[in-house]
Amino acid sequence: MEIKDLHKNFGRLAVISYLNATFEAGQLTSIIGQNGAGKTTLFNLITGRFPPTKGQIFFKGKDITGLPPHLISQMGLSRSFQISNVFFDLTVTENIRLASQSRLGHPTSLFITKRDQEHLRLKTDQILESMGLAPDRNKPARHLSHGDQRRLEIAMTLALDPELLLLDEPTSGLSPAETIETMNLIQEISKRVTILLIEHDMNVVMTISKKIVVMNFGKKIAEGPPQEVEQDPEVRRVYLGDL
Amino acid sequence: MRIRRAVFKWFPLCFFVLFPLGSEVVFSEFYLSLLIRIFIFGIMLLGLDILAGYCGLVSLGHSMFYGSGAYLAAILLTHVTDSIWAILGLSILANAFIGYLIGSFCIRTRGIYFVFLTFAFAQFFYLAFSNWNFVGAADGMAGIPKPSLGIPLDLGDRRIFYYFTLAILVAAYYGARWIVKSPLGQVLVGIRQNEERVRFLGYEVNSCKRRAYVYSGIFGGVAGSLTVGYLSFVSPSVYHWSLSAEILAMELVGGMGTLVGPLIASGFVIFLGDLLSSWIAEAWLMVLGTIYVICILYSPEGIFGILRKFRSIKRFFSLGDQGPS
Repeated sequence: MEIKDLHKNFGRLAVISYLNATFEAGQLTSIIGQNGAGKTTLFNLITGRFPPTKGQIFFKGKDITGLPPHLISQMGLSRSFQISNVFFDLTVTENIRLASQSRLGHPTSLFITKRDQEHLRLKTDQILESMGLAPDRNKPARHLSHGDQRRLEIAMTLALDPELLLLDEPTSGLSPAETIETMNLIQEISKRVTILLIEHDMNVVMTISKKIVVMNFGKKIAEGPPQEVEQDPEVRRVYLGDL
Repeated sequence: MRIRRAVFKWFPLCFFVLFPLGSEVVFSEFYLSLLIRIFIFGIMLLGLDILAGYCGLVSLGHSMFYGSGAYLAAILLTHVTDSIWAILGLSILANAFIGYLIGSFCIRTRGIYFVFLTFAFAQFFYLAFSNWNFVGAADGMAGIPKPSLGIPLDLGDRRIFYYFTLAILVAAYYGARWIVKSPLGQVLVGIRQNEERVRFLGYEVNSCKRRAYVYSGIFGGVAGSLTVGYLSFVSPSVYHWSLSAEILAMELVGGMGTLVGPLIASGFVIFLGDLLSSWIAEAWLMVLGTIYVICILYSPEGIFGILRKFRSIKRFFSLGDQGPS
């Protein structure tokens, strides 16, 4: 995954300005920065929620700049949302099944073979189990606790068999205990899938990230292994609030 | 328990199958016509429910399909063929085509804009057909020949037509149920609830919406063709927006996204309308209006929501949003 000279204006405000970055396959990269640093906007640009003003985005060597979200998703790039964006009136099972279904050969067909149906059922069960959502499988997502909704959010992205997973603050609003739980889960997932993780609390991602990118006011101000970034004077000044 | 469920399942069908036997003995033949009208509206409502109830696209232009089906049948019966099969087949094709064409525009908009765009297209047809002399302009066409089944059963006989419409309604019901339970149906429910997330799951939302629009239009077209086959008369009023509004109200009263609810509502509203209008004439619309208000305020799921509260019925009718699990 490569980002070249990416630029996004909202009106006259440059939210992302001429960002260059490369994210390598197979490792967990965290993007950190304060509120308004442009992290979520970066995700929105990558996943096609809106087009960039300038610049290009490459995924697996292909230019995906400006493609509609469903095509980007089909290429194996899936994302979670900072504010739980699930189907609140569907049950947990239905939420996950709807996500898995999109990876069938004919996801919106009028017909479904017995084999596909069985495949969906098994896959849904497996994700329910591995995410610890099985006890609530028949509850509407609306009735889940906030923590479980956050987990459902991740479960749905996993159901898409992603090659690259973009997680937008998966720990937002979680208790410290839940945060640790979620981070362990993400570490587990990162053994199989390349992950790009947004987080604003640097301490949370220190141990699990291979690489950290620090953003401030739409610019990249540092990148590298966690220890290195932590020592970076610029980062300490704008982000850690150096004394 | 199983017996009770079976009764709920088969009682309505048995009732409607046996109903014509009582005609002219227990009650006048008029009630047969009333039921035919209810069935035809039922077919149209099944289609509207796929679009509005499942996909969440509230159309105020569904009369476009009803009218097109009606005029197509009128023209074919008068000038080309009397085979009901050919008419229904062509009606399906033509309305699928119209649905695809106009749907391509409409589904790009949402909310109130979708409502008004579908409304505008339907009114366009209304005005065009009101001024087209070939189909009798504002007077419409009368004395249209009766369609034939191709077998020695006369569709001109009210009872035969009753059974024919009932058969189409049953087929339409299972067709609609199949659509909403299919993978596409699941995606439509997803679109209604959270269109954006569906997009990020990798589904092409617009093509799904367009298909919902086309399928729902086909039901409307079939309903329109049947009406002309029965009444032997057509006028531009089949395109009028008030018809769209009427079925939309039935949809609301019945309970959106339930298939069975709107069917019950069409029976309820048409039957009640007939009953009351013979007592209090035009004032019955006030009663109807009150029912609409009460339903919308107190039972957002409509009649279906009320019925759901009874457990046994709930179990039988549990078709709502649940897919094959």
